[in-house]
Amino acid sequence: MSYDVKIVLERIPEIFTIVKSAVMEAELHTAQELAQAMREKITSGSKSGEVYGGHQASAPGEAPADWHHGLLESIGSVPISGGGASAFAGGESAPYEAEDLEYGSPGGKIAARPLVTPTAEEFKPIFVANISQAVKDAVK
Amino acid sequence: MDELSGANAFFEQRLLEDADLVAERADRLYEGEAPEGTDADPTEYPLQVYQFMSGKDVLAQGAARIYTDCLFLVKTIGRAGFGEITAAVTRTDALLHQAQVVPVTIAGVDFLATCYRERPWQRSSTSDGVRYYERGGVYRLYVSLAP
Repeated sequence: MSYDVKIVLERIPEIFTIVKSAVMEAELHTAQELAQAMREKITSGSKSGEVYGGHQASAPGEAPADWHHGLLESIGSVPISGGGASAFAGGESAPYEAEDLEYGSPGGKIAARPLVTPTAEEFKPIFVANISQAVKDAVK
Repeated sequence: MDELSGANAFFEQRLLEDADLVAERADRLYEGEAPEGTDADPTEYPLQVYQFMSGKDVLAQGAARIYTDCLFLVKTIGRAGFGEITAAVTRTDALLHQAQVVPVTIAGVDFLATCYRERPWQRSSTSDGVRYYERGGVYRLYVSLAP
């Protein structure tokens, strides 16, 4: 004769919904934090590039300096349909400005002042920590 | 000597000492940007630029630095279409994307480097009436002082 014990967690669909919602919230929260970090890199910290008509530009390799606010105002974050979130710079208010600063100007004439790439790199461990915490909190 | 000196030496030595690549773009490899006035002379193209994008140090107990993890954009730039730079881009990737650790020595200091392409990169755009064709990749580079 054998005996068995069945363990059935009937709340799996409910838990899945709760965790999915928490993860999506954490993704958007991380994207918002990343966008804010990009704004702060532009508006704070010393810039050591050339001075043009009173404007202190950034040096190669530094985060861009704020000038006409186009790049600064282009920074944002949105949830992605179906899951995930996006932090961005550029778009309609500063399409070429953002690309040229991130990758250098066409022809290799002006060196890059990367903003999105280094900030995204810094946020990799923050993203993992935020998701991990969100899952832990959701299943308590 | 710091790891980024080793990183720059890795690119300079890999990309300037290869005869096939020199045949494609002579010695026109620049860190950050091309020299001022280059764009006024079409014969100065194609050229290559490598650019530091991001980096972080990986530490062990006692704040011992094990290696530096960095991202570089490496791009080949031409003015006559992508066909002009395809061979240089292909050769560059073969030289940089390495399965084995590459030893690099600069000013008597030895470094070890591991490099691979993390994503391809391409752009074509017009500046001051000139069309530029740029292709390459974002390369992940792990560099450490040799033990």
